[in-house]
Amino acid sequence: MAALDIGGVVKRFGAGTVLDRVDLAVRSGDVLAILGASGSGKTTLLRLIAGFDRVDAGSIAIDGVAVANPSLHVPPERRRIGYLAQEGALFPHLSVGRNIAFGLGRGRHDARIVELLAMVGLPADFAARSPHQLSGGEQQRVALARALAASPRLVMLDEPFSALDATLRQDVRQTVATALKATGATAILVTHDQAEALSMGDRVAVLRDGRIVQHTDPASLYHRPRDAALAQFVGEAVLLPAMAHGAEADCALGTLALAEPMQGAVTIMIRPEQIRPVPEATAGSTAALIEATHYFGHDALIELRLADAAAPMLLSRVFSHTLPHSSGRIGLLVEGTVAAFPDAIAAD
Amino acid sequence: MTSFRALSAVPRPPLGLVLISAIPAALVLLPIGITLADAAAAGGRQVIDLVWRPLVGVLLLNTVMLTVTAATCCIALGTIAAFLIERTDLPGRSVWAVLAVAPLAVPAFVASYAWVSISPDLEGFGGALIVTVFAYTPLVYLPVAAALRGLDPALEDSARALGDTPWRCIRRIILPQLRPAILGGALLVALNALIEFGAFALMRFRTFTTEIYAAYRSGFDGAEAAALAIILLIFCLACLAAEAALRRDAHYARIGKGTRRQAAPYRFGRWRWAAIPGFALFAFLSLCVPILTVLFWLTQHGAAAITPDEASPRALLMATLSTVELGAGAALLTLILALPLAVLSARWPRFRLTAPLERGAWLAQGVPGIVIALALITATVRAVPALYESTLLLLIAYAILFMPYALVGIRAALLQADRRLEEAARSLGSNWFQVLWQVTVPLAAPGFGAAAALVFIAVSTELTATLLLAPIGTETLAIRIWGDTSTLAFAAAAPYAAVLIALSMTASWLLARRFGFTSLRVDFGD
Ligand SMILES: Nc1ncnc2c1ncn2[C@@H]1O[C@H](COP(=O)(O)OP(=O)(O)O)[C@@H](O)[C@H]1O
Ligand SMILES: [Mg+2]
Repeated sequence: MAALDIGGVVKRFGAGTVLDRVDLAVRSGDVLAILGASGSGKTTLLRLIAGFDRVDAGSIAIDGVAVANPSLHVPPERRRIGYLAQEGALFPHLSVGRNIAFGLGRGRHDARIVELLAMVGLPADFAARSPHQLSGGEQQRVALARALAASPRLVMLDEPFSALDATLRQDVRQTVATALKATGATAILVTHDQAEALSMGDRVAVLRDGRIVQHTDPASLYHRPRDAALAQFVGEAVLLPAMAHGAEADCALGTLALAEPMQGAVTIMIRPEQIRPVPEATAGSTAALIEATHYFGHDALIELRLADAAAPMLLSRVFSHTLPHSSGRIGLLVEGTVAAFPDAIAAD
Repeated sequence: MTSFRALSAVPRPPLGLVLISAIPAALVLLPIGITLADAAAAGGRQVIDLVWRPLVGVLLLNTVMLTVTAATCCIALGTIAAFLIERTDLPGRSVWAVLAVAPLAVPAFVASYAWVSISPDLEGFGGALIVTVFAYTPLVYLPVAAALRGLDPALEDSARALGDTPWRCIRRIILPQLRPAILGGALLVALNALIEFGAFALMRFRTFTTEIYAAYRSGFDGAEAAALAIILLIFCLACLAAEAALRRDAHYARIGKGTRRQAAPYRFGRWRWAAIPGFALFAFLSLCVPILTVLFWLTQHGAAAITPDEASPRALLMATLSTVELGAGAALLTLILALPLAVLSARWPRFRLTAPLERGAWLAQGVPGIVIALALITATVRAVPALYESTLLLLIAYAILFMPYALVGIRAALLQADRRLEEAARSLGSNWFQVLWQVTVPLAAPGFGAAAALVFIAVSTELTATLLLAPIGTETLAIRIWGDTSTLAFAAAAPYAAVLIALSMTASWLLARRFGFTSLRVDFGD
C-alpha cells in the first residue's frame, strides 16, 4: 500500500488549469522529488496534498484513507502532514523551542525539543532564541524540526533550500536527507533544481504543464528520459539524428549501443560526460574539432564540431585536469548506452 | 548653501543645515520648557498644593476611566472590523473599508456638537465616550488592517499542518502577531483622548484639558494651569514613550521575503451577512449621526433654536476663507521648517545629532494643543507683546503641533527620490541642477503634496490653539462652531459644521485616493 495515492487530480484557478489529471503514488518511507520549472504547479500540488486548497477533480488518499476528492475535504489539521514552506515560516512571536513544540499539544516537551534540535544539527541552547536571531539556514533547520516534531506520516518540503546561498544549501540538504532517513518518514520534496531532485529523491517525478510526464528513479530519469525536451530539462544533452536497428543505432559518432531496442529514424540523446575526448586517430574514435572550452573548476565543458559540417555541435564534459590543452583536432569515443526517441512519423 | 550634489555627497552634514534642523525640536521643546518654568516660578510648595487637591483626583479618575474604556472599545471594534474586512468573505468589504476610516475626517468636536445637540442627556461620561470611540476607532483599525495584510499566510498554513483548527489559528498565530499593532493603536487612542479639548468641553466632561482652559479663562492663574499641564504632559509623554517602545520591540515583521500568496479568507457561508448590521450601525453612529444632525440643524431657522443667532452667508464665507488661509499658511510654514530636518534625516540618518533632533520634533505628538497655546501666550505676553494675538503666533503654534506630520511626509518623499537615482542621472550626464529638477523634485513632489495636505486638514479642523491664539476678529469655521455651540445656538453652528466636514472630507478623500487610506493616519515608524 502506498503512503500517498493521487489519482487524476485537477486544480484550476479561474480559467487556467494549473494541475491537469495528476497521478502519483509514493511508497511508504520513500523520498519523492517533484521536479518542475517555476510556475509548473509544484506548490499547488503540495497545497492540495496538505489540504490548504481543495481539489477540483480527482482524489488524494493517505495510507489508503481518502482525504480529498470533490466531495470530501479533510482539513489540514487532521491530515497529520509535516509541511516545510519555502521560507520556513517560523512563528516570529514564539521562541525556537515553542515553534518546535507548536504541534505537540499542551505540556512541556523539553527533551523532545532538544532531541529534534540535535537531529537537525543545532545545539540545545537554541531553544530559547527567537527566530529573527537565526540565519536563513538555521531557520530552515528549525522549521524542519518543527515539521518532524509530531512524527507525521508524510512530510512535504516546498523548495526548502532555494532561499539559501549555495554553500549553505549543500549543508542543509545533507541535514534534511539524514533527518528524513532517521525518522523513516515518507517525504515529498519539491524543487526546480534538477541536481537537487536527482541527489535527494529515491524517486523523481517531473511536473510539466500541469501533468506528471515521468515518474521513475533518478538514474532512469537521467539516462532514459521520456522525450528530448525532458532530457534537456534534466541536464545537458547532446541530441543527434540516428538510424536505429535493434540494440544499436548509427549516427555521426558511429554505431552506439541503445538503452532500449528500437527501429527506424530516431533522435538519440547522449550526456556530455559520455563523450570522451581521446587522441586523434584512436581506434574507433570520431574526429572532431575543439571550438571552445568552458572551465568550471571541478569539471569543464568542451564545445566540439564534427568533420561533417552538417552535424550539430557536440558537448563533452571532462574532469578539468583532463581538459585538452591544444585547440586542435581530437578523437571522440562514446561510453555507455544512449537513449533514443522515435522521430514523429507524421506531424499531428 | 553649497550645491545640491555636494550636499548629498559629503559624509557630514553642513553646519548650517544642522543648525536650521534644530529649529523644529527647539520649537517643540519651547512650550514644555515654558510650562515647567511657569510651575517653577510659582514655587514647589504651591505646585504641590495645586496638585494635591480633590479636583485633580476627579480629573485623574475621569481621564483614566475615559481613556481606558475608550481604548478598550476601540481595540474591540477596530480589531474585529479589520479582521472581518481583511480576512473574511464579508460582503461589501471595500465599502466597509472606506467607512471604517471615514470618521477620521470628522473632527471630534464637530461630532460632539452633533451628539449634544441631539440630547443634553448625553453630556458627561457617556457622550464623551461615544464621541471618543467613534472618532478614534480608525486609529486601531488602520494599523491592525495593515498588520493583517502584512501577515505571512505561510504561518497560518504551517499552523494548520501542525494541527491547529482555523479558530485556534486566530488565537495562537494571528492575534499574537497583531498585538503590537493593536497596542500601538490603543495608545494613540489614549493619547488623542488625553489631548482632546473641544469635544469634551462641549460634552461638559471635565478632563485636564478642559480644566486648564477654565483656569486660563478665570483670570489666568498661570500656576494652576501649569500644574495641571504638567500632570497632563506626563500622561501624554508616557503614552508616546510606550508607543515608541512598542515599535522598537515589535519585530514581528516577516522573517523571509519569498513569494506571497493571498491568505485564504475565513468563510462564514450564510453567516457572512450577520456582520453587516454591526458595520452598518457603526457607520451610522460614527458618520451618519454627525452628518445628519448637521443637515437637520441646517433646515432649522436660527430663531427656532434655543438661542437666536443666524449665520449669514457673508460670515460663512469669511470663516471659510480664514480657515483655508490659515490651513494653507500653516502648511507652508510647517513644511519650510521641517524641510531641513527631513533632509538631514533622509540623507544623513547616521549623523549623531539626526536622531535626537528628530525625536525632539516628534515629541510634539505628545504635547496637547492647549499646553502649547498657553505657553506661547505666556511667553509672548512677557517677552514679545507684539507677537501676542498675531497670526504669525498662531501659525507657529500650528507648526509645532503638526511638525511630525510634515516631517514624516517629507522624509518619505526624499527617500522616494533615492540618492542612487540621482547618481545614475549624474552618471548619464546631468548636472546637479538638472538632477534636482528632473529627478528629485518629480519623485519627491507627491510626498510634499501629501504632507502639506495632511497639515492643512489638521489645521482646518484644529480647535484648541485656534481658539486661544486667533487674533481678535479672526473667525474660523472651528471658532464659529465652538462659539455657537457653547451658547446652544445649534442651528447657527450648522452651516459652519457642514462646510468644515465637507472641507475635511474632500481633502481627506483626495489624499486617500492618491496615497491610500493609511496616509490619513501619520505613521511615525522608522
Ligand atoms: N491562488 C492562486 N490564484 C491564481 N493563480 C494561482 C494561485 N496559486 C497559483 N496560481 C498559478 O498557478 C501556477 C502554478 O503556481 P505554483 O504552484 O506556485 O508553481 P510552482 O510552485 O511550481 O512555481 C502559476 O501560474 C500561478 O500563477
Ligand atoms: Mg512554488
